[in-house]
Amino acid sequence: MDDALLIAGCREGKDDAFEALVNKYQVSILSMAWSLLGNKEDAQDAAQGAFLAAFSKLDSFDASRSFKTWLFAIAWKDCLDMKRKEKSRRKYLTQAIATMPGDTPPPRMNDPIEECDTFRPVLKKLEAKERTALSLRINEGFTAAEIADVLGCAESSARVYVFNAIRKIRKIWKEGNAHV
Amino acid sequence: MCSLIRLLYRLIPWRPFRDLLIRRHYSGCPKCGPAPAAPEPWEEAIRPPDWILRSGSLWPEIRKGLEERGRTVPAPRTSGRRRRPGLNWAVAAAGTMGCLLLVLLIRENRRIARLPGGPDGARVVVISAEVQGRNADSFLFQTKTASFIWFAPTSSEGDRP
Repeated sequence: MDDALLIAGCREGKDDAFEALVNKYQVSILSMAWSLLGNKEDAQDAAQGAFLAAFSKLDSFDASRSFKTWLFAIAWKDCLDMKRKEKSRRKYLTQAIATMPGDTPPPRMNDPIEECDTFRPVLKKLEAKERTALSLRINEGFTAAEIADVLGCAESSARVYVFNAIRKIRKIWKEGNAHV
Repeated sequence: MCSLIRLLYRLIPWRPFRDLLIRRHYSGCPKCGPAPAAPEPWEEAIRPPDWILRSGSLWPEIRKGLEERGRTVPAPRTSGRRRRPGLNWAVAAAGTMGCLLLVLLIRENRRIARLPGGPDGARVVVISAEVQGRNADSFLFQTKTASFIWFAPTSSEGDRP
């Protein structure tokens, strides 16, 4: 069903319209969130947060824009926030462990999200924007303009991100470091 | 990616040049630009894992979240709330004009302060003057570089008996 019709349904408060939008974009949003965050729980949290934020802000959605890229842009920002929080959490824990007396056993610190087993090693080598740009290009078939809309950058920059990501992956692949 | 571009990319390891090269090439090349690249073996590595395809709908959780926020139906956008497209430009122009006016005022203030006799300039004040033992009037004329003072005997003083 067309996004405009579904959005109109959401504005009228129809539950099935919300559900249809979620079901339509869930896999894509989860896929992007996973490529950036690297684990299932965080990706699901980010996707839920993105849908919630989008539905809450639906009244401010400009109908002349694409709903798809608008939703992805919200999800992208949510994922970045989660990454930042994770980074500061890790930094705080590292500092706390360093200041502990020697005989105190250090608390168990979760592995950084990018080090977990389920994350594909190839993606670890890419920067956040490169990962997302590549994931959107390969998995979702986004154009450079759509990627730029999601990442909030120029179209030419989006092309550069995709190009650099592909170049790095090809190099890794040739070197045989990709354990997939 | 065309082989010539790949060669140039390798020859000059300077990032700004490389970015420019890719941008120019992608915008003009029909082969590399809009058409999607042919599938490559590494693409499998970035495909999402199976759990994403198998995971159930997120809708029940999202619905719960919306209800917790106490807002299940977003208010439709009304025409009154829509921002006028030129408003941002008008605000920016007014801000710029304000800044410009402030700068001009400051400059003018400094210029006045530099003038002789201005707030910070040296002032010449004649309190009293005598010429040949008689009281005199003083006439002061100042330019940027010099001060001229004339003295003339007061006529009424000389007429006294």
